[in-house]
Amino acid sequence: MPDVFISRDSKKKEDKVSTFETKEEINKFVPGEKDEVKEKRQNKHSIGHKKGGISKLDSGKINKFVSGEINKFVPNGIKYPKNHEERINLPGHTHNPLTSFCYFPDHVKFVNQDPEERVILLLRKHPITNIRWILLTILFLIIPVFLPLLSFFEILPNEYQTVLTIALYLMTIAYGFEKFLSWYFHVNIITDERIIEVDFHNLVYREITDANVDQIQDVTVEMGSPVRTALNFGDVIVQTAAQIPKIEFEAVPSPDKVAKVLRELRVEEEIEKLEGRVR
Amino acid sequence: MDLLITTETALLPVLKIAFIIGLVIYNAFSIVLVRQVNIMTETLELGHERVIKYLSYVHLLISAGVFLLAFVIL
Repeated sequence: MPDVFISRDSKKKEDKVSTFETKEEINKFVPGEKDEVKEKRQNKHSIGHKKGGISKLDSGKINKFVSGEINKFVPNGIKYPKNHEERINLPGHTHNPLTSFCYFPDHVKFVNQDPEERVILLLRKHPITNIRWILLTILFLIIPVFLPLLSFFEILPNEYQTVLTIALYLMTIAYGFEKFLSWYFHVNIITDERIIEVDFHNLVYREITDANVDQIQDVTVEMGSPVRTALNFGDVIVQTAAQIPKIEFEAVPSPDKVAKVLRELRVEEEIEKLEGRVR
Repeated sequence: MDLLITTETALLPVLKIAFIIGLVIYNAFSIVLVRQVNIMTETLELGHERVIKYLSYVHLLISAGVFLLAFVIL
């Protein structure tokens, strides 16, 4: 029974896979990876079609250039948690609703998500990027305290003063709330199949960009300022072969880890292609 | 002094209308905000949509309350 998933672009993927006619051709394409592919296939089959159990896979070739913390993060490829216990013990997993970096988040779903698609990483801009609007909000909240010092305010009747003060507070809160929403819902999601950017530019404009993992051509990490280096956040720029050639993860924490996850996913996707087991 | 009082009295209705119009626009903004939150939560489920929806509705109620207050006391 061929182990093939059918989905929106499986036809396209099948066409690509069918270009490898024989095992020799596959081995030629990725020399020395035959055994790894076999082992990974066995591990995956042991838990059904869901991905997982690939910790046995010796990804030393992939990891030998990666060291320290990043290597600890995904030491042997991406290990898909089989249950809640495993999930909560993963490094980078958190239940903080305002987190900017969550590995295998609990409740994340998005529009047009495939039923079998699993969210691996949820990213937002680093919280420090909010400092500007937070300070402005605090400033606007303080301003009404000094209104009685202004001469034009004093000549207004009391009821006008009251309404003006309340209206100023209200507008300040609305400004802060709007900025918070823009930050909270501007997320980058990495799933086992694709990368997605959801952005709400303003009150009415919504933009959702996605690209399949196998369309990723190049990943660049940029950390260009002392603050970014000190707090370990930066941009991850993903060049793709999709219609939208570039997806940018702006000011995300631990960009090296993000790049590492993307690298692992690309390797997985290549292996899946070679196996002809695509969805 | 009389001239100043007369000027103030003449300006207050204009100011009242400006306040009311401003608050009407603000209420429209609050409604758009509620709609935006609904669209956002339909697009993305992050596990805390209920709190954010409540906040947007509370904001709408407060802005409507301020509008009514302004309408009554001004």
